[in-house]
Amino acid sequence: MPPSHAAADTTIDTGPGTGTDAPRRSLVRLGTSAMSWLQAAPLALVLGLFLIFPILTIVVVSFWDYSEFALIPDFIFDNYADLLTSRVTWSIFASTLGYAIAAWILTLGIGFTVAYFLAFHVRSLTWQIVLFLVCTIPFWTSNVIRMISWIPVLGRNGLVNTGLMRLGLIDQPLEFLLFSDFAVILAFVHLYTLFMVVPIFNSMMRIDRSLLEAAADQGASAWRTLWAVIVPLSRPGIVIGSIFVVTLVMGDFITVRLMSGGQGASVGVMMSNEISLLQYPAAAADAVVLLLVVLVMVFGMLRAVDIRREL
Amino acid sequence: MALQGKVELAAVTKRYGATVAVDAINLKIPRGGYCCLLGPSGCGKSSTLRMIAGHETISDGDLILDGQNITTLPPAKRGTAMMFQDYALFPHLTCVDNVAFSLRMRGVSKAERRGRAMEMLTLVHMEAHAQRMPGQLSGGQQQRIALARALLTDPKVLLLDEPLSALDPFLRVKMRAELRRLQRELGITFIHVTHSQEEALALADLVVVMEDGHIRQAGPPREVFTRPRTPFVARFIGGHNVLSAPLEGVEGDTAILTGPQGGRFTVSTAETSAGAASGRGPVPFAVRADRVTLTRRPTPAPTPTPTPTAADALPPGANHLNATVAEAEYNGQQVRLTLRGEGAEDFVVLMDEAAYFAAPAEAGDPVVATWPSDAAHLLDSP
Repeated sequence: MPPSHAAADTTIDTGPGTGTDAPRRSLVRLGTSAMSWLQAAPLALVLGLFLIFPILTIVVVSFWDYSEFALIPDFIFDNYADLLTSRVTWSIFASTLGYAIAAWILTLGIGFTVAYFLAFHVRSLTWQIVLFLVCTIPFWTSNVIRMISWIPVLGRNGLVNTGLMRLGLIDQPLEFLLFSDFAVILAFVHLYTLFMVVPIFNSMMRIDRSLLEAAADQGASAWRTLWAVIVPLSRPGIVIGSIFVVTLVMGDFITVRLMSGGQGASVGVMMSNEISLLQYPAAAADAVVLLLVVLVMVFGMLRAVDIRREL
Repeated sequence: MALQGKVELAAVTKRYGATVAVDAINLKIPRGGYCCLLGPSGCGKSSTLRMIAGHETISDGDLILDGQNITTLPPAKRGTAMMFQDYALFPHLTCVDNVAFSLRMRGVSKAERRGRAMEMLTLVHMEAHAQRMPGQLSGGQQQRIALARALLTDPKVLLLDEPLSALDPFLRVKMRAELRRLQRELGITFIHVTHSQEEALALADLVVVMEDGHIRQAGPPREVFTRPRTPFVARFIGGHNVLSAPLEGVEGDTAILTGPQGGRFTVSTAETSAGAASGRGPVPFAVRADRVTLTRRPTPAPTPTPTPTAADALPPGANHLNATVAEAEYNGQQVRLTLRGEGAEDFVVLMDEAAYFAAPAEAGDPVVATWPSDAAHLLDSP
């Protein structure tokens, strides 16, 4: 704001405004408030257009009716009623939740260990960076390729089975390795462990090293230090990583479909099947329920730690 | 209360790869003593402290506490406790839980450890803040919590790593008195690392001045201040000017050195090792900055004149130095004058404030600095 305007503002407050000053002042006011709107507009527009609008559309469509070849605008609860009364959808939700819990436990265990090693046992920054880059190597190629590349490893005549048979440990190929829940969870762990490593490592790097010495000074063993100092102080990273992993696994369909060979079921797979059958309203209802479930889970995790304070 | 915590360091060495941070130092700290390790950054004082604490392995040598060799014991088994420079309070625990941490590690029940921690908090006047988180406290308050936490382990030796450096000057002086009080009340040994000579002189029974991983001088504060042994100690402890001049001879307990322009310096050899007196070449000696008297000297004429000047009026044999005032800095009680003269760059004179303003000397004024021979003493060659 030019200084002359500021001067005008102060003179008006002390006495009755002259005819020329008053409108200018309101213009300035309008200017600043319009400016704020303008500044907030791009993000609001992007979020509105690409997040709020699609979600609203899905919510609206979830109340529509449908036939084999048409969507019928309507306001019915049949989609939700079908969903909530069908044993199949309940078991599919349960199996999705099962995948999420298994993947969460494993990625947390592995991710925490890797982050701990990187943060506290690798002393030089160069090696930390090198090892960190090693962790990201799987991400240099696409999701799908990473999953497909498990097939020659885990398949009937894959590396693992032939290796174990050559060693004489088994005579029959292990069938559970590929196209099974085991394969699905393995792929999830492979895909998402880094999402756990990065935030936990970040939290750990912010732990003052003298705290560990203080703990040792106070008679804490390495193990006690881990539980009493490092784990509580890594909690923000653990929560952020958990949110990543849980939301990614809950919404997944391609990993489950590929790695289970079409045998496993998840909400994502169910939705994609419904979409291919043009049952958009049913898929939309599934999506809304899934969204609510995930939101409740995220909310629960955020309760465990005040992210805003910790960041 | 029986005094405890006699600490002995025998040829204690710390090596980091090829560099030697602490070079075979020997030190005996009496039980119930207050010892300050003093020195510039990188002199090895912190490494020494951390070796005593057990947070740094001892490369060589032995560490003995009350007759027990604790060289290889883990930190908590040594009978030492450390107060860290940035206090190292656990940010996720309340103050009372911070203080009680060692008890929790020992498996003491929650009620009992809280009770003991509260007693300790009362000792440092922090009982009102027991339920706060460390992040909500000021630096001085955090320090008290850290102190309470260290003391709860019942140490024989409390190790303090630059404990006052993060505090503002007023709080520093207050906390200093409190540390001293606690040390006397508890009857344990305090080992305190600092780079402030003022702090060391005010607190310690034993001042240990370190440089380059060596102990240059260890002794009571007054001895270290009035009789620094080497030029380094004299400069570091402050209040001294270090000059050097060739030795002419020794008469009784006075050494005579050749000064510039046919002048002489007489230096007391009482209370000094005077080992330096045997050396050839310039011998270093220290002159107390607060015992120097300044006399105004008329601006020197281009050629020496037979008329008596102020310098000529001095009694023969007196220590004198012709110089120019480079700077006069008002410090309150004293005025600190920096002189430039032959053989003495940055010769510091501390004058009583009233004495200075009775006859103020401005920058550029020519002066003669004189001092009695007992205000100077010989130093060991560096």
